[in-house]
Amino acid sequence: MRFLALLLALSLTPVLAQDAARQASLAERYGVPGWPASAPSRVGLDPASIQAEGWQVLEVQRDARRAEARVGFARQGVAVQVALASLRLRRHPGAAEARRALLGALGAVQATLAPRKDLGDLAYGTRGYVVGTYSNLEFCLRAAKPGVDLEQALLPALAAALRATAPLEAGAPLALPAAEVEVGQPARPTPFRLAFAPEAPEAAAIAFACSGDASVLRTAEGYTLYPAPGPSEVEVRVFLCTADLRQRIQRFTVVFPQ
Amino acid sequence: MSGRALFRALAAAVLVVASVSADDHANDGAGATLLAPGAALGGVIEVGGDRDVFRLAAELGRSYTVETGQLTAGMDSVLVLYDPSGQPLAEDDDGAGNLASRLTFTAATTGNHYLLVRHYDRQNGTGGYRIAASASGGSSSESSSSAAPPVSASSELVLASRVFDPKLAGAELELSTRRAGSGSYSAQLEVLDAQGQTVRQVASASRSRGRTYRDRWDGRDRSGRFVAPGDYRVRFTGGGGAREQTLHVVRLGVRAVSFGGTGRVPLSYHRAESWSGSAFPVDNAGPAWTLSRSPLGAGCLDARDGSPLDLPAPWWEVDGPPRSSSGALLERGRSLPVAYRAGSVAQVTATLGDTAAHDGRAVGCNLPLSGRPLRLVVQGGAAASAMSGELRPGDRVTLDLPPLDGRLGKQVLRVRFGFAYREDDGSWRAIPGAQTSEHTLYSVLGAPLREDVPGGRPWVAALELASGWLGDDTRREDELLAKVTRGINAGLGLRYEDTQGAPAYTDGPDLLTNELDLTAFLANRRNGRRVNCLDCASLVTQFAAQLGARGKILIMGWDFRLNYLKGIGGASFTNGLFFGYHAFSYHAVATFDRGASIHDACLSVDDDSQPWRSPFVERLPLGMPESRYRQQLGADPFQGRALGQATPR
Repeated sequence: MRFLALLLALSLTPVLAQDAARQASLAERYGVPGWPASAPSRVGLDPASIQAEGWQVLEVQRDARRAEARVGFARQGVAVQVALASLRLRRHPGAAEARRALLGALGAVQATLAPRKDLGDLAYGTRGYVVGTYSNLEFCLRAAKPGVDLEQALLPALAAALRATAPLEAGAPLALPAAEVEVGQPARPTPFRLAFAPEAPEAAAIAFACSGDASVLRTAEGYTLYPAPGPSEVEVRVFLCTADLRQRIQRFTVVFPQ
Repeated sequence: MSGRALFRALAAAVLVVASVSADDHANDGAGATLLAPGAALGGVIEVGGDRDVFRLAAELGRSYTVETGQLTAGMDSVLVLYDPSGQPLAEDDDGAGNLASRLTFTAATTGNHYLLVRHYDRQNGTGGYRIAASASGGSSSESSSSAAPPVSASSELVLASRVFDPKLAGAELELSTRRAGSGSYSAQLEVLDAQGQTVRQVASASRSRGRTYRDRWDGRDRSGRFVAPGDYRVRFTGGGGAREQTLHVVRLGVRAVSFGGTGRVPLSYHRAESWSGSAFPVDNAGPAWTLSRSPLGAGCLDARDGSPLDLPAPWWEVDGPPRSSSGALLERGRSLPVAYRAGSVAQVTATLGDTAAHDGRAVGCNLPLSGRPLRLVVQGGAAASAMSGELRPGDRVTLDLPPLDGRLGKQVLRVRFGFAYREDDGSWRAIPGAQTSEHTLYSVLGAPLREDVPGGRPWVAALELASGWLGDDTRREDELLAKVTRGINAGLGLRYEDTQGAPAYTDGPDLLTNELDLTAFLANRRNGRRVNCLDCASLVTQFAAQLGARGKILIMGWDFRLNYLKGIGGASFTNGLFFGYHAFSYHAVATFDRGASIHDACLSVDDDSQPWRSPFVERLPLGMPESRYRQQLGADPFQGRALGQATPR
């Protein structure tokens, strides 16, 4: 077994070495060792709340599992509303995770992006594409079409919105959405309800992930768990996410007897 | 006394009698002596309590007279008539005079009727007698003692099927009639119910003797309603003769279909924005194909008005299964897609309905038929068929379809469920009509690996999109990979993001471990149509994986200058990417042989000996050897290569 492990390690070494070299080169290119200290973690930011002169929010999608939102921006005052720019904003648990994601984003770009000093605490890009972080918030603002200039209002508005985010006070609990799960007798399928705590922040997005090939379906009456055929124990993870991307993950288990 | 009770009683009696002396005629219906019209038989009541039972093959509507005579001294006969089910119909003691008995009756149904002879003194009476039968009216295949001429040889009635379900699609019963001889006759062809009432006159016309006429019955009564399942008689009269045949009207049909077999590839509905839930394995919805639920019960094949339930069409949305207005899953009345490895044998399990509808209520299907077993015959569009064992209502029957053809991509699978019954000679005859279920079928190379596609289940929406690229005649993996690459390159209006080469759908901590936002891509390219090489390589490998081809993302080089190239969606070759910088920090392509050759949907190279200058020989790399590709793409030598992958979300 030890021999096999060694063989496996040796076979993987060239790839890992190349990747390590690539990562090192990437870090050097973007001056990672010299990155400034990050700002304190932020409570969150609702990207749909960003107000840029001449622009309006056209559409918002929130992914509760990734604590991420994507917002489309359209020009105000035009007859046909088309998203000409989009902002992807993700709230990470901490600044380190956000910076790791930023480095991944930089590595996926085929050109080399120039640093920017006017946005968040780290930012790279041009007037058509900008990626960056502000502490635990990671963002990517991009033009949907050539010729769309993000400098016109959108980038300044994003910078202002980031600056305006509230810091997460050290040691203070983060207010998160909360729900109690009410599951009746397991059946196929099994309806269940989420009772949201009224004093907790509202969940703007909910998502589910199930073990054992089970699935959850949202209905007007609540939710329904569809297990795979056969006896099973299904763990359901419920992802709750506020508009400003604070995320809570809750779990419950349903046992389907034979 | 019921028929069974009669036979039990008669059987008990024969045990008593047999212990005393030999008996000339059986005491029960099972061993009854045939009494033919026109014939006379002798019998003896040997001991007190003896009974002699005779069998008369009567025909519906025909009149018969049965009488005893030539009684020996001390004999006083009693004659009792029983119908085919053993129910007593009539009894006579001295109707023929001189202690003899006589019964005259018109048969209300065709079949064996029974005549029981006993002594008036049940305890002690004995004596001999003769019994005779005569028939009048109608026709008979047996000789008649009446003056009516025999007509069996000159009159024909043939049913195309003795078993008939008029509610099966295309079902019509062909009735062939013929009268021998010359000249014309007045023909009547009608269907009668068990009570002898005419439910439908199929034909009433003057016809020529010597010709065969073929009429059709649609299984409806004179008011246009489907008749209830049950046994009927088809009667052909005219020209002085009559013929009758028994017809079993049944209700046959499949109410649910599910698929199995080793080549089956389970599918999943992905977590689309419109879906509002988690990813949904299609199998969690239950059988792939079900009838809608009848108000008369889950197993009923018909609507309340007696019409057959509509057959569901393939569900057309690819983001999720059909749902009600409240969002609840529709568990009945839908046809969900299935996937199989191309060329494999699909196994279908059909669940039969167990009731029909008539007069607004659920009724039986008139199954099983005594002595006439039924089978399900399934055909999948090819010549071969498979037959099940004997059927009963509500049965689940599993059969293999003919092998699927080798085409990859989307097809419509039509499964024809027909039925057959066993004839008297042991052969199997098809029942008119059939029920056909339609299914969306995705033919793939195989199931994807779980590490490539969550759960190893392809996404319906991904297969749907990819099938459009494959067309109608893709059979080999290399064809599939080329068409997928071309489809992404030219089939979706994508353009290269030529200012920075930034991805729109792919991200991850490094280039080797990526997530592809396939959900956004399937949602009409929600993140936009400007993509980079990592997007394209992820899309090619992911769509290929969904179709069962295993590939990797090949990360090539690190900071290299480029020859002329034409980016995805571009109008012409360029050497001025990224505001004239025209170099890649890296490049990603798809490979399905660990880097020996590459598929690149992102750009076309100038595939001539001077790729750094015009003219250009445009080539989209479709299985191009990697060495050739490097030579055509880059002006600098590449440094390094690594294999990565992208999982979908």
